[in-house]
Amino acid sequence: MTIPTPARSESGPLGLDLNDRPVRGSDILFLQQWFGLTLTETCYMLGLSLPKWQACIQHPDEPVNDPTVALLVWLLATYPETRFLPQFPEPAEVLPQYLATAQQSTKTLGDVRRTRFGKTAFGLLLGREITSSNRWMSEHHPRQPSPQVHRLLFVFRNLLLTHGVPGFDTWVERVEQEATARGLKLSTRMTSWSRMLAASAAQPARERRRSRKKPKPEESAG
Amino acid sequence: MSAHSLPDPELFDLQDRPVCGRDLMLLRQWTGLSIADCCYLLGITVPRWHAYHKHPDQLLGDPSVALLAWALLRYPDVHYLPTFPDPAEVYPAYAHALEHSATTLPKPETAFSLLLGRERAATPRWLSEIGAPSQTLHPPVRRLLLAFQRLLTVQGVPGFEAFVNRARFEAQVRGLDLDAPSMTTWTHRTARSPDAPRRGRPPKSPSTPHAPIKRTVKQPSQATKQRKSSRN
Repeated sequence: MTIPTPARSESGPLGLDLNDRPVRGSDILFLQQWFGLTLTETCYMLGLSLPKWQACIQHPDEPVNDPTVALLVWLLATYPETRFLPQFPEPAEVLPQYLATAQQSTKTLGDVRRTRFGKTAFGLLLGREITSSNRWMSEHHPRQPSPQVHRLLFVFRNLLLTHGVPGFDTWVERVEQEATARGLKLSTRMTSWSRMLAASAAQPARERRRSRKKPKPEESAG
Repeated sequence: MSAHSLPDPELFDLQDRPVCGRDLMLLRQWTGLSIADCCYLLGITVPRWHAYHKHPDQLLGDPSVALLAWALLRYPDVHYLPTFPDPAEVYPAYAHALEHSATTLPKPETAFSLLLGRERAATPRWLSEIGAPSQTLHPPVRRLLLAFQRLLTVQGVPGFEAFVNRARFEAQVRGLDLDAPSMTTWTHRTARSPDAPRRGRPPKSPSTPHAPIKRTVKQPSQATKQRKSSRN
């Protein structure tokens, strides 16, 4: 998630003309859409509670009641250097660093086949599916990762940059532990966290049904 | 970005077990964040936070959140939240810009908080607080302090003057005058007519420290009377 920083124009860098009018509720919505923020992220950026955000949005043409919020919106809209939200990287920005580090690591996917970590395991290491990386980096219709994954990408990239192969190995061990706790095994056969979780939850039930003893006629009669 | 002093993960006993709901609560305690800020940290919604809160001993449903919480606890150097400055950290830059600017503000020593959308009386309060006053500040003020600090650092005096002009404009549209020494707050108070009744508690008289307290004798209720008569 990269915050856009277009060239500054007379009407402000966002094309938001705030020169001759106060900041209104609709400007908050404009900032949210322009930066591609979720509701939680917008509230964090402006320090608003959800009810206060709603109050602003419900009166889009009225000046924002709190002067602090109004001044903050004006600053963020007018001066890009005042924007303080972290810029989370896209998957394509982290993938090369991940692949380079994984090549140097002795860690493999599973003990039997000992497959090296590649692009398909990228999604699994971020708590998602093996197909996620293709979706995120699709040429035609790339899908945005969830906010959690965006943050995880930030942390993962910085971990690889600062801790290198030992950091990568620790990460893989942690993923293995979290997978084991969910009844999964990080291997080439693992394709997803959620689907396998549902499957592994359903499996004991089937086994229980199979091993259930049928009451004998004489027992039930007795 | 901030450098949080986070605990050793061994304190959380996270080495040999997966992340549970209660670890998120501990993460919040250690970082000193509000629930809303913690939701931003983890990229989750407030209802999701409360769902985790309700099941402290359960695994987190989303493995990405579990990995994120672990990584934030295990590697404090990878944190990404901005550090909001204390007012005392920003005040010298404000005073310096004001000194070198052609802009004049009445009562400049207290105009600092007025420029940030708060009352004049807030400046001495902010600057006198010991410890971590930013935790008790209004959340938008904490953010505005950071943005204002960056503006002064990058844009200098012209940026400061643009900000003051904007504050003047925002005051004007609210029917206030930032250049008037009488403006002490952004709350617009309508003038009270002399005949209008005063609101709130009446002022205490200096001769009588407090009004005599009227003692009322509690009358027994009908049920009590009946009980007494039945006992007799």
